[in-house]
Amino acid sequence: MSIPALALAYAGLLTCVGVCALKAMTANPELDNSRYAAGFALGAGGTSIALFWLSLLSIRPGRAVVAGLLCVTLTALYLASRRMSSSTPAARPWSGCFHAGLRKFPIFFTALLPGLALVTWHAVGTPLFEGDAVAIWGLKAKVVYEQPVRSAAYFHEIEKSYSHLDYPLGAPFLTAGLYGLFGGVDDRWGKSVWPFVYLAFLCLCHSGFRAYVEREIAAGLTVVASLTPALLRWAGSGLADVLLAMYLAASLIHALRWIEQGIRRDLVLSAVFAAFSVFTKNEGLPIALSLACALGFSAPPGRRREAPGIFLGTTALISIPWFLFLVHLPQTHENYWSKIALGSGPALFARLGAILAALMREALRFREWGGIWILLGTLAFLGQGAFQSRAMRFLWIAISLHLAAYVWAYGVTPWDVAELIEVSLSRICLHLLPAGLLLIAIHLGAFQRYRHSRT
Amino acid sequence: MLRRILPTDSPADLKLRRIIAWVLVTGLGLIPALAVIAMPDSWPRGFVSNFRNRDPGSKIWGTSDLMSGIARSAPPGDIGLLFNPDGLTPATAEFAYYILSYALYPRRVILSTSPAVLRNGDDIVRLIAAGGAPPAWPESVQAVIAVTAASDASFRVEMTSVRAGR
Repeated sequence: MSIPALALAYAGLLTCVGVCALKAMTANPELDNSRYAAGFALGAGGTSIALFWLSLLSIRPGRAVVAGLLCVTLTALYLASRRMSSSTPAARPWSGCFHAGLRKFPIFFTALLPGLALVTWHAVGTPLFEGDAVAIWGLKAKVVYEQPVRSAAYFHEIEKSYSHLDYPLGAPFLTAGLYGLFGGVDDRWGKSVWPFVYLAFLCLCHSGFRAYVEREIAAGLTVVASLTPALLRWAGSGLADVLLAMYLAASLIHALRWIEQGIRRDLVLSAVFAAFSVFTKNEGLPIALSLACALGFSAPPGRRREAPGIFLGTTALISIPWFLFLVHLPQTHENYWSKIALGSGPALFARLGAILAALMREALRFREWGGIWILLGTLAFLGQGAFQSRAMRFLWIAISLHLAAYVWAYGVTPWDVAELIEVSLSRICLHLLPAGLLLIAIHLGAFQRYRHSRT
Repeated sequence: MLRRILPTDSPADLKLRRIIAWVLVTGLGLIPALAVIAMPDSWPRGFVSNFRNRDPGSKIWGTSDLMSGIARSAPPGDIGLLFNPDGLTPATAEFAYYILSYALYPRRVILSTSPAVLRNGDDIVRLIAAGGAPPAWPESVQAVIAVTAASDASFRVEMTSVRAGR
């Protein structure tokens, strides 16, 4: 098979594995495109974690390992999903409109093509050239492909500390799986998975929008999201930020489904996607903690203790091997967790004004975000009726805690904070994009329905 | 305020609310995004230009060719890096060190005889300056790559035998 065909086969296999896993878990016979997107996200995250676990057992992701893992998992999950769908009733569609897939709206899918074409062009039409994409994510993908993590000397080479030895390995293992199918390293085609990540992110956002606004408005919002300059800038670059945004979108959407429908497997799925976030970037850990807190405050009465417990328990269970592996890595100067200790307060307060001003400036940066954060601010004012809903409370608490964690990290960083903000803020704000977009949809829905909600 | 403007659920009000929602989405979301993409120095236009401009003068394609060339020609085993400090800025040193570390993996790239935390270009330049004369490479080093700053803020490399390095 040619390399492009293998790249397509990889994305297809990831999607099939994820869809079968979702069917086995949810027994939902209606598989619209958003479920395929969630399936891709589940397949990508699950495969990365499985390849990491195998690597801990000194098995590197060669062709036989990757193909065997995907095919065996696919067969097992397919059989399980068939058994499950014959014995379990189907889940209700979310808010009565979750079942409406993209298939019924070809014009909308066509409207996504310009963004998808640009991201594909960037991903497979250009070599790996972004600084962090080469020095951190590309290097780690080569490392985990060439050697099992247990024996790779790289993880203990302090002169490679610029590549952050303790950064999570979700994106590198996703790329290494592709290298495994290719039978060697191809850093250009190794980026071929990113257009699928971009598309899955948009389809997941669309499924969230459809629960709160009409079909045309949801389509319009998704097209707006697809053309967000910062998303187009980073989606095909080989960095892990859009992958994190995809997992976060999936986690938020399943948490919202749980808040609205109360089906526990949605809460578990939300936690599984949060665990994938933890394994994708260091930012995933504060994100998972902020989601757990937000669930505690927004869960239906009587379930406010249970929800964070199930969420954190599931996330921790999946993340334990990663944290055990982290314990053995050398600590460098950039150890944020050690800075939680006393003494970080004064440094944080001294920088707070500059950090908040930079965040405000970033929200208004036309070149990076168009008008998306202005749209959120405007709609939060116009659609105030939504503040009464649990979904809204959940999202605002989650995004506020998430933002607070980033403010704290900038407050205690050992780097020059102005320089760090300059190089990282646009990517950091990408992590806030899923919650921001969902908030736009909910406020817009409230704005459209304010008369209905009053009656 | 809006309840005063659109107080009922009449078809006319519903239609107007829908129009306002569309105006908000397109006016505050879609049009700014399209305007940014259309700017002369926008990232999407940059991607297209990079893809079309595949001549060696294009920095990203030049770097890519350099990486694949070095990876093909370098022998297995450790590789020493010998930086010429003349005209070498921290940014160029950082870029060259990161690119070569990536391209040569799984070979080990050695900049100094003693392991040091290399966080950025300043650390690399400091180490080069402290090294002074070419270091005595360990026996494990199979080849030495000499790195020289180029005029376009890029760098050039030349593979030399291990004896020349020693």
